[in-house]
Amino acid sequence: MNRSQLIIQEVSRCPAVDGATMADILAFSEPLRLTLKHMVRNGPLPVDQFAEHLEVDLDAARIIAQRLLENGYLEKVYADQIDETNETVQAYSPIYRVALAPLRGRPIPDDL
Amino acid sequence: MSKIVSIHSFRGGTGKSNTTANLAALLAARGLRVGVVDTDIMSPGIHVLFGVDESEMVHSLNDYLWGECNVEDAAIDVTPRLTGSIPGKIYLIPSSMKTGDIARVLREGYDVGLLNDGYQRLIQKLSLDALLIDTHPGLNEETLLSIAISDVLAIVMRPDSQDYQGTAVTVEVARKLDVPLLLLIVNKTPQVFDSQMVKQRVEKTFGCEVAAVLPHSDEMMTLASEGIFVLRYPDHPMTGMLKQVAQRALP
Repeated sequence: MNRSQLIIQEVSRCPAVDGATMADILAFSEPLRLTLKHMVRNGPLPVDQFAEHLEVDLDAARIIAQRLLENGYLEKVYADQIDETNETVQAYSPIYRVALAPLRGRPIPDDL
Repeated sequence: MSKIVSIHSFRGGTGKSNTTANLAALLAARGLRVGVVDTDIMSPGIHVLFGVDESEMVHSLNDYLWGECNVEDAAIDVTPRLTGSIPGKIYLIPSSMKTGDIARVLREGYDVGLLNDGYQRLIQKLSLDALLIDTHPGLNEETLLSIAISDVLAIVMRPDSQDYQGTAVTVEVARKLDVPLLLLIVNKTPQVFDSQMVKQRVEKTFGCEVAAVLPHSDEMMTLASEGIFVLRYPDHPMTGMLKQVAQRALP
């Protein structure tokens, strides 16, 4: 299996989550782990830069991003923008960011 | 370009908050604008070192995480409280000391993504050269996040077997998250220990740089968190060692 196939296989097997925890990110293997970490640290990436970080082609990057999106690890910041003429809606490459899961509360006594 | 420095320890009581406060003071003494965030939400305390009383906290990190204020609204300029002339600035973002607020964090949790956004906003709004994050001991979501976004991770440990094992875990996580600079600070070293031997042993054990082996200090213990050591004892050998750590973290 080549690099793209390995990553696609990994993201296809990862469980669906309601937002990624840092522990989830830590559990991914390279290069996915450091790409997601880069996105947490430096902000969202368009798919072409996502592909560069993963060192895979654009088609593979789109599949990987889509699987991560479907499984709750990524979210789209925006998918479309209105172009400068404001007359047509033009689809741009989506920008992805890591969807960090909120820290969940625990049941503790109300009077504390 | 501003740098994020996380000061972490696997176990409590290593002197993490003291180290953070002293590094902040040394960096501000160099003229830098420094932010200090107390992310030890469950057991906050670094505000004491900067002489901040709970009653002075109009807002805290907790308020920001609950969407009740901007993160910079919780910042307190603690520079005027410090002894000596400091050309830079230190802004403290404290966590709340109120029992109800700590319980609310436990009960409701918070948006970890907001904490991440808050770090970047603080750097921008306060024009910070360095953001120091005083973390909760051990590994949890916010400490993992702090480690992941750091340019420098300083792990404080004591020369103690429990600390050795815990530090190994943190070092492994830091390596997995590819932290650009990983520094170990061995603190509270008994004075009967040979510091050079301790340094060699720790470096060999973890395969990473030991920035300082700080001796147990009666002066530090006597200060009892009622001030910043490096400002109170500017000529003390330990101040010199902490200066080396600050220089290594932010050359």
